[in-house]
Amino acid sequence: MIAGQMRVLDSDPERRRRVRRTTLVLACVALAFYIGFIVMSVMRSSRQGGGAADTTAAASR
Amino acid sequence: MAEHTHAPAATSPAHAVHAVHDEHDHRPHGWRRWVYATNHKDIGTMYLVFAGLMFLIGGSFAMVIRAELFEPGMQLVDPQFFNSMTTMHALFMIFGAVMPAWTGLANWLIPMQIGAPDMALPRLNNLSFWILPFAFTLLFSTLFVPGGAPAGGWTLYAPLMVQTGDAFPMTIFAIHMMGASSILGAINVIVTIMNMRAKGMGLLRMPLFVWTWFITAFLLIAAMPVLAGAVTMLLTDHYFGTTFFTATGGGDPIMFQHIFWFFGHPEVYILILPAFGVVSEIIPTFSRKPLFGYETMVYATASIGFLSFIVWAHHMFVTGIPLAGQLFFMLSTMLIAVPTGVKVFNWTATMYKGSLSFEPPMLFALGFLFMFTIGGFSGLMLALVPADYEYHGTYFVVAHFHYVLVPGAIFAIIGAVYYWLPKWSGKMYDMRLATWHFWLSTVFVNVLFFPQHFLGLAGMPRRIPDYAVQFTDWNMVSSIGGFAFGLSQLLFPYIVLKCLRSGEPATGRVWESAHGLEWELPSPAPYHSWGEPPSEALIARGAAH
Amino acid sequence: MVQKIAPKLAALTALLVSLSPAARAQSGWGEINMPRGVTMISQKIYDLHMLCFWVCVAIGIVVFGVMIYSMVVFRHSKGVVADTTLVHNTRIEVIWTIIPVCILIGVAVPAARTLIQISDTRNPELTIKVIGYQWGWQYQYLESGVSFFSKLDARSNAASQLDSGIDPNTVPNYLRDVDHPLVVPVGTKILLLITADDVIHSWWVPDLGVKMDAIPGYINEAWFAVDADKAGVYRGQCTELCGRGHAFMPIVVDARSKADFNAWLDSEEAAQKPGAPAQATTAAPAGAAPPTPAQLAEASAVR
Repeated sequence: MIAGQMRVLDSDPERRRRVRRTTLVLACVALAFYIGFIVMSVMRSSRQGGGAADTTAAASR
Repeated sequence: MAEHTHAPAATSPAHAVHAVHDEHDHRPHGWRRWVYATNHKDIGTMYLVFAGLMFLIGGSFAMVIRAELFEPGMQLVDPQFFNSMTTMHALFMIFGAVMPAWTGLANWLIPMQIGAPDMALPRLNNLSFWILPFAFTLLFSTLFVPGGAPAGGWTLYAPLMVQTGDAFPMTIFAIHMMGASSILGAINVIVTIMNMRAKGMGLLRMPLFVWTWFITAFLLIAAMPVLAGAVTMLLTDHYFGTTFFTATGGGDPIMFQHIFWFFGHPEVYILILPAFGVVSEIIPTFSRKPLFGYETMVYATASIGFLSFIVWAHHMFVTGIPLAGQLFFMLSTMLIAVPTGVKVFNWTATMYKGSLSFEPPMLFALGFLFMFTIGGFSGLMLALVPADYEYHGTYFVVAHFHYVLVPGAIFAIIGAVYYWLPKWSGKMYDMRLATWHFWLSTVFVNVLFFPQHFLGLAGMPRRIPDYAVQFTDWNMVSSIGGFAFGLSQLLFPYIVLKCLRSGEPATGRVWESAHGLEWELPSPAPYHSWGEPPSEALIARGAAH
Repeated sequence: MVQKIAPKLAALTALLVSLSPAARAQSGWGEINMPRGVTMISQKIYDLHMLCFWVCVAIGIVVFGVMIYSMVVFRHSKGVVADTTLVHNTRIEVIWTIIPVCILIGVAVPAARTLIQISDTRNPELTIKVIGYQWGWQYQYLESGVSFFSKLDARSNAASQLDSGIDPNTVPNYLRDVDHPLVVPVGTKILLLITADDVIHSWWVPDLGVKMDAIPGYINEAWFAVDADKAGVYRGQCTELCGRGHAFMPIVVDARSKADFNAWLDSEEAAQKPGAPAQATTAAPAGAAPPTPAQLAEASAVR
């Protein structure tokens, strides 16, 4: 079914390793952006403190 | 043709070898071929068919919009349903039509163009496609749940979005699925380009379609997770008591817009960069002349990709961001005009002193060139903050982004299909009909969108189902253009189906001066594109410059 | 290629023709450009808009000109042979990078100047708080305490119901009229403090050159000063999608002479005094007994 590219990958274990490594690095980058933006938002809101007080803080910027 | 210096593809030694290998392949048949698909061409085909289907559904949403806007007063739909239509139209067109169409083209072309047998991660490829039908079934089904489909606009702005009914979690889950699909597709593209290039296919020998997709894939990997993060926070705001974007709980509605547009602006370049690649392939072929300034094109694309991450707040000039921020984002936005201008000039210089012919792919590429430039002009006007105070949120913006997306991205996709379809299918399509398709599309896309500039400048806001009577005339013109444009698009599936059923056999080269590895393969291209890597001589011959 | 450019030429011609004041009739066909407006800022914005428009037209003539020239002259069907050596030219590439940069700077400088003026909200003579609701506006004159709600007038509301059977063309100022307009004096720097109570709205009156989002939890500032000789009624509407009634929350600004404005304000103040007789309050049409947000919501829910 995937004979074509398997032949290429099997013939070259080094390429196989590189493919796996690149994939994992990219997946980690994506995950970092996902979690990073949520963490950033959490930190931003905890820095401001909750409640109505910070709405004026936001407004006065 | 006489001046054509390349040997006919059929004598290429590489694919004589290749054909032998092909016979060993045992491919699954029937439904298994598609459900268990790991072949880049099968997956590419599914992506393209899916995109076409979504284009028709998203287009029919647009027809509802244009029908209601044909004249003032509410004649057809409830305002809430109208808002659902604008929202669903955008979501289906962006995530369902344009992005999958580009991924489909990437699947079909990248392995062929870099001398690889297939994508690097074929099973992941299968997964990233098959997520999509489920995501869009889920999104489509929101039309039938209590509260109706999402109606907060594709920008999903909090706090309005939180007022969505039962469709809320469904929409968010669907967006998560689309995002996952895009990220997996992007990972596959990058991994393939980095690891599967044939020996001798240096980075600066890659065709521009590969280059633009390479950069697009990085944008996807950085941008899509940010959207996922934003909608996750919307979800927790709604169900788990967080107040990320709820002012009464100390949250910040503007924060949502910052996060959304940090995704949203790269997203618009995700939609258009592969179009730059396609046009950069088509124009040289039909100008019988190599692309002018290949390396400049690569660097311009890369700098557009980089700049796309530092302009997001130009969507937010009227939210009250500080003066320094407005100045920064105005200047960074204007800066994008420079590499974009370079690209337009390079395409023009490619045609200059060429030998032009006007087959359908070239027509669509030229349509792109003219009308994308018009969209670029209105984009430059929108970048000026004081002027944006009048343009923002009006039909001027609608006209602007439709000029870059319809005669921009969509024309490039159609042009790409007309360019490579003979290679994929081994058959020629009816060029006369395709030329008709071009002229009808071009005339009516302008009838549809040009008057929207007038409407916006005269004061008509976007996303309204009903309007003051002075806007009637141009809305009628726009609606007529819309219906005619929509109808003309039905020619497209007809032309493709007719080609597949009864097209004349195509040659390997298809277009006399087409360059690139894919044209060295026979038509139709073999199931595993380059089972044996192409020789370096072949690569050098195919290189565009 | 004539067919190719014909629609654009036609559109451009139509645009140019209709830009001439004589052609700007009252019909909708003439409504194709931004209004000059009645404030110093709106006029500066208009000038900037036209400057950028003509810059784009000029660039367009050059770029489209070269494209069309190439398409007409270098045709394969005429037997033209391509000059395949023309693939790179550092000098021209540098030139067409630098020229756009210069043009952009030329446009950015006046834009930045105007922007700085727009941002200068100091020393207002009158301060009005604007609060957006789903779907209407509340105006509070902070110095005098006068306050009222402003929502779509009843005739437009009736005509805009689904299949109302009422022709919008018979409704005066269809969707552009409110029950209680915002009354302001001309020749006065007025500061708007803009916020919202539920979702994000946007307060826009094209003729004033003011558009500012109304965001819950934020108080945004914007200012305008209607030219002293430009008393009149100026209309706009909400420009940020805010739900079902987004199209149905217009803004009407009634700019009056200072004397007329003061007289109006005095009568409003008297009518809204806590001690004012109940019947007087109900009798006064404008702004008397402002409805609570709940009442407003109820009234809006009718649509």
